Amino acid sequence: MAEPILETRNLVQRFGALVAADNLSLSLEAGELHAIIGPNGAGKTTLVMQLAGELVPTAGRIFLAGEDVTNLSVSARSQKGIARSFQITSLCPEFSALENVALAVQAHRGHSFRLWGRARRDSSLFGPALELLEMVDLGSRAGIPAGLLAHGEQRQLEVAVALGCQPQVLLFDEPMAGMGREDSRRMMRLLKSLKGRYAILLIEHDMDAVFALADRITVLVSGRNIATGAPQEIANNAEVRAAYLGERGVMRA
Amino acid sequence: MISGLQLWITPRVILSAAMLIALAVLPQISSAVDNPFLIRVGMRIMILAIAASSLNLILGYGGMVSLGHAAFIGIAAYVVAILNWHVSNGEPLLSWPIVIEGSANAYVVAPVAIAVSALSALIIGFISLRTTGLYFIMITLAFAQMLYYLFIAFQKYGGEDGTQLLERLTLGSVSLNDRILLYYIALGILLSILIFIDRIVQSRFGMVLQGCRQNERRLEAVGYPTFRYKLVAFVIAGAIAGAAGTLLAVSQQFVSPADLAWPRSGELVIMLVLGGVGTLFGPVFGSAFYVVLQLVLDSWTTHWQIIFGPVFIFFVLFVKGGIVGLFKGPFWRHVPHG
Repeated sequence: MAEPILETRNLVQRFGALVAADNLSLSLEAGELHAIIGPNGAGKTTLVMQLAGELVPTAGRIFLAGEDVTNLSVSARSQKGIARSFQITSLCPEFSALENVALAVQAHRGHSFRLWGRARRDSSLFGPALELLEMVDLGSRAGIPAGLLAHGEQRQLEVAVALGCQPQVLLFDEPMAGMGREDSRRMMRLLKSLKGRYAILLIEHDMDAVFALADRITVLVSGRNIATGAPQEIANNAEVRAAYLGERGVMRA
Repeated sequence: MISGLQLWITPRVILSAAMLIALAVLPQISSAVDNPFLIRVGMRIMILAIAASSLNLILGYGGMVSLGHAAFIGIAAYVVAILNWHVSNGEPLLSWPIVIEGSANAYVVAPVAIAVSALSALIIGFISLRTTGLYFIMITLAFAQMLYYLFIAFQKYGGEDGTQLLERLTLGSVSLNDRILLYYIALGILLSILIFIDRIVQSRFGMVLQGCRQNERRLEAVGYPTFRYKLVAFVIAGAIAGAAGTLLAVSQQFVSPADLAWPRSGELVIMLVLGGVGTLFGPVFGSAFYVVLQLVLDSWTTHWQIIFGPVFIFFVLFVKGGIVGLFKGPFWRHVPHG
């Protein structure tokens, strides 16, 4: 098998007595959509923060395409191609939707210590930014300040911003959090359209979405990887059923 | 689409043009009514407007609330004064390993003063910008107070009483004794700095800077090492404050530790709030309003702050965008209006 695009080896994260990542190893293959599920407090967001660089793991290493990135800062990892969306929407509220994406494009094209010349007239930034906005169905909302967009639109914008970072890996932290049925369906379609084109690590509570989209699923419980496999395997895994899913018959994969 | 002209000619543009014209003709008015004091007032407005503009770059656009910005004004002013002192006392500034003489030539003094301010901003910013919010306010304040006490300790240069610039400054072979000439030099510098700041704010760098104010975590996540951008902005602001300090020393021919004490830093923040934080002309209106109101109130009572305080509170509570915010239009606010 080819080298995984993103890999963690024996990650440990302790907060005092609490262990949020317990010898956690997993891999993300190129072009794969890998979903992480687990009950609340399983360490899913901790994992995203470790991968994005906001948390330095107590032990263990993180590799991006074979390169050890464990000690790189958040911005350096972004430059290497790890892009993320936030569980709680995190945008520049006063900038327009288009400017939010353009800012991400700018971070990865040319340099930003240009003190002269109007950035807003720079078509090398705003052309690609508009394409990305159209890709997430926000083309008609380009001029609206991000803070004034509807919740669902802000979540779509988060995806466009992540795509603006020329990613090798996309980390989506609950992209459907707080969404209504209509918005969720739109986000599903969007994720489906990205599938195969990027390596995606998806953290999501919506089991329908996870089982419909994922190539592989990893189940986290108390910071441990208790099972990784194809959706069907996970659905039939006895330990997973016992530890997490219970006998509620939610597995419809 | 609305025509370009309609977009341009807004109440704000008219108001700011009127402000610049008023500043430009003030010397003529001053001589017409035979009141040279007016030139001093205009000079003070312009110097404080330059200083407030530099603070606006980091505070208004970059979200870095510094309460020690007067330090960079004072440092430059002291550089001018110290170089001047060594000319009038005929004593070299440094005699070993190389001899450095004092100078009263603005072509030498101004770049040195601005460079020293910028270098100080680099050092202070490098340490302070590791913190944010309240800690940043406190650490910038602490640095400014350290410098304040440092200059008080310099007995050679007047200590607490400050020092007079005895040697008249020149610009090459032209004397800067001429108040009108100095006034128009200051106006030219103010205009250049406003244009410079406008360009910075609208540049790629400016987008990053404004992004830092809105959501620094997001900017890190999309790949910006924000510390570097903030530090560069901090140094630029320090250099511009240095230009203000140079003008201050030259125009008042006197420098004292009060020029870099924290009340001065606080005044600059007040001017921004009065004029409009994060707008290009806000600092100009803020400084004009502050200086004029202070003069008017001071002519009524020595306890002018008793009236000024409530005026400021009124602005904070009811005029949130400052004076510029009263005249909404598409020209000034660089961030999308909303």
